[in-house]
Amino acid sequence: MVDDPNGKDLNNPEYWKEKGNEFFKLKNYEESINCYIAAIKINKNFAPAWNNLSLALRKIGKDKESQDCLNHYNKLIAKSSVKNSNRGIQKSSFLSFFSNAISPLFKKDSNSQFKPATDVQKTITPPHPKIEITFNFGAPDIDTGDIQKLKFAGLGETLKIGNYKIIDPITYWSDETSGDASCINLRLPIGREVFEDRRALPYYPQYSQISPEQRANYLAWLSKGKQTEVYSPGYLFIYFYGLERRIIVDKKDQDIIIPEIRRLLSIYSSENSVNAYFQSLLSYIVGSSLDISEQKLRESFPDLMFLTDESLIIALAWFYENKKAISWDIAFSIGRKLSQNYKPYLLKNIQEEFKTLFKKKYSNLFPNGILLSCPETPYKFEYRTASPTLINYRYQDKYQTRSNSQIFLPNPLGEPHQFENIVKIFDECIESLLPFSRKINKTNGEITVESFCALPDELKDSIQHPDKGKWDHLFEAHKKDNFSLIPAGEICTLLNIEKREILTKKQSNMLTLTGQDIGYQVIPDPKLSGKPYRWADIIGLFPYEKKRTPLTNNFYAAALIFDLAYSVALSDAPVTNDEMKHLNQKIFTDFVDLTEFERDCLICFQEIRKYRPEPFDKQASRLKEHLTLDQRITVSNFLIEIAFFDNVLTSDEQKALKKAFSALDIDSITSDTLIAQELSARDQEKPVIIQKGVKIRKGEPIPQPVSNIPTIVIDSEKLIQTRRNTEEVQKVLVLVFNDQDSEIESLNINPSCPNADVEEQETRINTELTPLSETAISKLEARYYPILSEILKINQMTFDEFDALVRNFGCMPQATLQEINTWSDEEFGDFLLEENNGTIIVNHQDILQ
Amino acid sequence: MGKIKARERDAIIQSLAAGVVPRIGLQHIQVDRKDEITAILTDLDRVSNKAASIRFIIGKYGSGKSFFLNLTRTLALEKKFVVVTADITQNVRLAGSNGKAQALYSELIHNLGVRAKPEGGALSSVIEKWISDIDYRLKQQGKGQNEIVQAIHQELQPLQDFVSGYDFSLVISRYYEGVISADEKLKSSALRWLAGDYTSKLEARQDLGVRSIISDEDFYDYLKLWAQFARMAGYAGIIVFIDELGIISHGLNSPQARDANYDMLLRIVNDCLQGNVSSIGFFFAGTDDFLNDTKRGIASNEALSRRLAKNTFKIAGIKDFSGPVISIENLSIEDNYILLCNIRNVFASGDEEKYLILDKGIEDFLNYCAKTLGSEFYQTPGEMVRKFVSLLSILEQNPHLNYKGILYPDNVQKEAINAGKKSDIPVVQSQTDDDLRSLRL
Repeated sequence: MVDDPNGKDLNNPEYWKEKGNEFFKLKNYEESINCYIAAIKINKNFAPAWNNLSLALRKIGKDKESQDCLNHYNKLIAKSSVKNSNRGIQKSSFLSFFSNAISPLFKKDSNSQFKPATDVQKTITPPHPKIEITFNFGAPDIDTGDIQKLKFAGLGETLKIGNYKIIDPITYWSDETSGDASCINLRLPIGREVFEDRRALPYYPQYSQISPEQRANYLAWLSKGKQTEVYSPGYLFIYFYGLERRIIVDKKDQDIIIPEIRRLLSIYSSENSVNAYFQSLLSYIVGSSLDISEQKLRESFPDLMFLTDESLIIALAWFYENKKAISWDIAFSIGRKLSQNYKPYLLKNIQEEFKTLFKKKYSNLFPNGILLSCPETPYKFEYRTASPTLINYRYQDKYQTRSNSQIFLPNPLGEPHQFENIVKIFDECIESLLPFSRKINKTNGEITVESFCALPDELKDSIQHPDKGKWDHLFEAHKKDNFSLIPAGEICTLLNIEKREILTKKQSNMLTLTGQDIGYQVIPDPKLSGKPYRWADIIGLFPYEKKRTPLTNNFYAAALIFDLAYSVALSDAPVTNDEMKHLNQKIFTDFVDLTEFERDCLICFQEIRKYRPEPFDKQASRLKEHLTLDQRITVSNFLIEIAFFDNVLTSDEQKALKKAFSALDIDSITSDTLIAQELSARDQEKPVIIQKGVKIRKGEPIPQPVSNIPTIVIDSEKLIQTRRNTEEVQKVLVLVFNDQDSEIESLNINPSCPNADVEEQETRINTELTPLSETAISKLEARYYPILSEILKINQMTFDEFDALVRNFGCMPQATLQEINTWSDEEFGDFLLEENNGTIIVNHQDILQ
Repeated sequence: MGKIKARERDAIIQSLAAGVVPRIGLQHIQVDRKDEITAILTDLDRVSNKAASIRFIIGKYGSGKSFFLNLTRTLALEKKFVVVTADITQNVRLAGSNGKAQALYSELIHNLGVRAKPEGGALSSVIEKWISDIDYRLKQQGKGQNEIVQAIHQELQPLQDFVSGYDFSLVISRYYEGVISADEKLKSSALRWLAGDYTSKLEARQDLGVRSIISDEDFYDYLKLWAQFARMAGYAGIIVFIDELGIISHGLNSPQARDANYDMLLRIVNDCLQGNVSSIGFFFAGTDDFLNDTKRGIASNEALSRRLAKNTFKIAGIKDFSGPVISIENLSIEDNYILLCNIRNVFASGDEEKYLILDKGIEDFLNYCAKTLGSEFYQTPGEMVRKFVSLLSILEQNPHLNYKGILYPDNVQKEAINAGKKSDIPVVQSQTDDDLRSLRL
């Protein structure tokens, strides 16, 4: 027994497993591997250590070794559950396993006991910086004897097992016990077909290990042509193991197996594991024989656009080996693999458009495809067998540098720069199709006008515009020669543009672009005229012959020159046919090279101008930017020629010429010289009459100033009525204002003063004292008589004097003022006393008058 | 119509030239409105018969509401009423906090007018009239001052039955004390209190010995007291004139503030229509929006709008004044014509021989105004009247001038030039509209 410092039993595998687990948790996988191996050394059948070892190996990337350990663990578990643990892996084989594979990690002590290289209790630093473990289990299940027992039934053969008759079985069979997973052992019992769960079969199923009922299910599937539904993908794999063995071990029947796998893939492609393994086998087949024909290649990979990474490498290797330029479809796969922008979901709904666009672009850029180059370093392709009986096969030849399932291939992907253009095209396609994709997502895949507009131009030719029928109908309805002149409003109605006098720039551009998309050149182009269409404009449609042929700058130049010349010709009188003919002859022949199509378009343009002649404007000045001085002088000469065509130069023509010269940036000296030259040239032929003077335009007559007629009308009847009413009202008012019989008098009668009248009489004023009549005085209360007498003697007094005066007579100033004024107002129509800024003014005169 | 008093003539001309409604002599320029005036006179008679009355004068801008209100006021003065007037503003309201209603009361009392003092400021006159009557009478009976003071209390006994009547009568007697003791401070304190100018109860108590002051809540009660006092002092009653009610509806943005004012109006309307008050009449003036706006006007207050609702049987063209609302229509062209004729008459002091302009001239002037004033001409006669008064003033001061020369100086000159001779009509040089306006009478 070896004890550690803590007194633990170091010969207990459980201890080493726990230690390994501790290291595993600390992510120190290398040390944990050492511990698990120590545990296995102590007890080779200690299954948990095998399992954990497998996990730890996987963590450090030793997948193969990990798988081997796992398989071993599975076997241990299986054996321990069926029989005693001494059956299965022989001790000798394990000893050899350790001696060959694990021993480098361990030191042997004198007791031949294995100890870990490091005392894991003291340090967790692994003794070896790099662990290299090579498992070599040998091939215990595959020996020649086994192989000899296997018989292969290929195409054209028939197997009859029990009640099942299998035509073209393409599988192994045997009437003896055989180690192959797919081999149909005729001796094994067959049960009845049963309904099964998807997970009824375990991983790595074997014909010999499944239940009789499952065998019945398998045989039934085989007998039905291997195309019906299977309960579990495990059945497919049992069959596939046979195909795999045929290719890898027997290396036969490739021609049969490739189509068979493709057939199975077409039926059962929904199974991911089936897809992966089957495709991988196909890749292996092609990769191991790159000299196959292209047809075979395409047969193996019918969809070259959607190759898996593995298949792509194989396909590229084939193209390289056979020195063939890659076609657009494989370039598409390359784009998918290398593009950073590619997301499968992005263009899911528009794959066809994507393919078409890519194909067009690729074909345009690389009409002969791309020949591949390849780095020296080969690509190591290793086929991982699916069959549990073939797992060890690839390791059987342990001294070979190249295993049977491993192939080395030329790897053009190792030089990615040669695919840069492909990736660029691919990315362009994505970018230009994204707007279309978004639009079409909204309409559930239906192509509407909007989504069509979003299509890249390259695709517009290949997809029919949804409104094409309507445009064609409109074109036919207004057809004139080989073009149509259509009111803009009618086209706008097709485009659902709301009626407005002048379209917006955007609407005008949309009209032109839609026309081009449908297959018509729209004339005039708002880009040329710089003016948006008006609703009432006449628009020309000229159909493209085959595909869209955009108008060149020549056409625009010709149209501008025509506009200039036409406005000069039109300035004096309507353009005559001769003039037009001359004009066209010059433009078509002397000035610019126009294609047949452009020539037709220009005729269409001229027709439109006949309907609505437009004076040239700023756009004409574009000519001066693009033409040289010589060219401009040529054009100027042409304009002069047009102006002199009828041998009369009117003042309007002069104006038009001047304007045109200004647009062409020809200074007055040059222009005068040109005119003089033209005149001198003409002198000999026919004299030119130059009309001078300014034409007086008649103005609008100025209306006479409006006379001062009454703007209001007085209704005499109404006036009489109003006057009458007013008089009546005034009478009423006069009655009120001159009411001498005070109705209120009665209110003044104070019940507490029954002798008031008597007293009044006693204090009657001496009228001699005042110039007022007795009748008038009598209306005033008697107590105010003396005050009144005093007041009438003076013209004015201060309020204090008045106050003192009033108090002398036992009265109060405000009351007195009020009483006297009320009295005088009633009697004489005005106030006697006027209070003004502390002064009392006595209005003698008013009262006396 | 007879001759016009000089005082009235000057008052009318000055007021019209300044663009305001004259306070006196309105009868001389009043045009039509026969039915309305009859209705008003009936109201005044009703109040003088110890009843109450309420009227809402409603009309559009420029229709002559204020003019009509002033006419009514003049009529009331003539009928020996005490009149109080005020205009509603943002800070002078029927109901409100922070002294806004009290401000209305103060405004009313400061503008208190009687026949002998129509322009207002007659508060002391009204009090003295009553006091002096008693004083004179009792002195005649040989009573001493103390007895007179007691008698004043005695006389004011009926007022004490009213809300706040005791303090009111106390302050009146304080005024008398001030008069007999020649205590000006006491007199003015009493007048201040009665005019609602006290804002502090403490101050009022120190000055007058009263425990309360006139506040936002009780100003209406004091108006009722004034009605009774005016009656006792020998007047026919009190008439309250409140203009610019449109401020309440369209000047107050708070619905609560508007509702509070409408509630006050409702209280007054109820009291007047139900006969709870006597010898008091209310005349309110406002725009038709104030009456009809269902969101902000009286129409938004259901109770009030029901009381002011028009007669449902009212037929177009036939007037009905049984309800409290008098609708004033804008003056027609013919009305304007008569108005100008009346003004001409006032200028001539009622003497036809002194007319400064003939009928044709008035017609021309109307045309001139229609052209120069535009829409305002048809809305309100104010500006036209101002111009006319200015024109007549010029003509009066320059008898040698022709009105055409003033109205159309350019035309006259042109005509003269066309005629090839110098115009014998003197022309006012470059007499612009503004010049015309700025002429002093």
